[in-house]
Amino acid sequence: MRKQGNNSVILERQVWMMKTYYEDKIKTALEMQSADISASDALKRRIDRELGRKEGALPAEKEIVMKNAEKKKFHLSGKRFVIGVAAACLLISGAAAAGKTAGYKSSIVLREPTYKSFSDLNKAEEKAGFDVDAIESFENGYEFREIRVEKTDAIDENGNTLYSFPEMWIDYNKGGNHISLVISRPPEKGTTTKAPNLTAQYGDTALRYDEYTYKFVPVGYELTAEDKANEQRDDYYISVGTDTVQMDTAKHVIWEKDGTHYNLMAMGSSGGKLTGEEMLEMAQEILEAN
Amino acid sequence: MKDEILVRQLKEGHDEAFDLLYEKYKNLAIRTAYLITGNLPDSEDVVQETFVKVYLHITELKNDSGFKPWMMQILVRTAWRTGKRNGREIPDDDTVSRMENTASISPLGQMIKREEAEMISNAVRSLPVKHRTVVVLYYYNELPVTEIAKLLGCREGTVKSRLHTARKALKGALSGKDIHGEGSAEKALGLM
Repeated sequence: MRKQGNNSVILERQVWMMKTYYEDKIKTALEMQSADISASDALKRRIDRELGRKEGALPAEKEIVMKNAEKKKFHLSGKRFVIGVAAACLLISGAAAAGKTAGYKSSIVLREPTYKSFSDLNKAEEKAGFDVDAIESFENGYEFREIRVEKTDAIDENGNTLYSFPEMWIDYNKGGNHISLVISRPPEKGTTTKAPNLTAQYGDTALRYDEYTYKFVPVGYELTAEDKANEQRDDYYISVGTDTVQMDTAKHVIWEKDGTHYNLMAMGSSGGKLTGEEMLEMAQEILEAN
Repeated sequence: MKDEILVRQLKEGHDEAFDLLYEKYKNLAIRTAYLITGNLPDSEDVVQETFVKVYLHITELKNDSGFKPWMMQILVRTAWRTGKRNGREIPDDDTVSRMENTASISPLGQMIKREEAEMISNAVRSLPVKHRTVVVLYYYNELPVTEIAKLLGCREGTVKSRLHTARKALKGALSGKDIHGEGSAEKALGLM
């Protein structure tokens, strides 16, 4: 009996050891599988963007795009604001040059649906109030991620809203890289002085590729003499509202079709290493498919 | 800072508290999402959706000290829905290639360990999503069965049963029985 009892203890111990052995293996395997995964900075920006937050800005304060940050800083004193890249294409194409419009303010309508399936494009079109040309994936591997419809306000120099219009954002992913196709029908049209970096023609549609340098600075940042000189350039923006000073490049392919404004946009830091030629080809894929 | 304090601050409208909670849990969240969905783009979508919901619905969290299980519950459900939406019950090969990348610099012993880990990972990846989730929460997140049951909204018995069947499949993988090829875990579970 005693021997049987000993055997039972040994067996139990063996079972326990085997169990521990397997369980340790499983735990180690899962840890190894995920060890080199970490949340990127771009992911936080995506979250903040969806929430209408921007690098510490309050949800109520949305992205404001303006030229001449120094001047606007005083007009908008007491408010934190961000000069961003979202509506920059409207300035680039000169839409803001007409009338009293000094800039654009994009706002994401909270609790509004984000369309996760490309087949919902018609719902997004209905919400935006206009039809768009878009494709689900590009030959270079960028694939559809989501569609959002945002409201953009045209604002005067004092930050007063002059009028509003909807803007559709279609985001694409390739690995950890993101690009966006931003589509709108802005009521104003203007001219721009900046020469495009590249151009292309598809049928009747003229496409232009532009690169812009962005300097993101904290609130209260004092512009240097170099900043002030750079700000006079038409390919340079200073964006207020980040925690630290950061530099980035914004790349845009812009075209207009049937009164609708298209902006295929990638940031240097998160858009992958896309060249101007590649982005022009992507734009032409959209035109070809529609 | 304690979750309880951060949750209270966020409920009062202090946005910085959200940033601190995100910083604290971002890697746990993305790694858990990755282990459930099996690929990085989906994991990022899951974490994005989870934290957007956290921000928008924080006032609905009744127990301020229960932030982590509440966030994990949102994350798991979002991951399940994302997998279903993208038709990816069985994730793609991203995980394997990721492991291969890290294995290239390892010595022999480490390589063997990695190969073994890869076998287990393959088996975990081929488990049905609900079994896979229980395995991830139990072994990776080290949550007790009672907490997993609460988080998934099911009975403890269901969690234990899923763990048992999953273990059987994983042991099969470690013993070298049918360790390669898709569906090995389903076979071990008698689902194929």
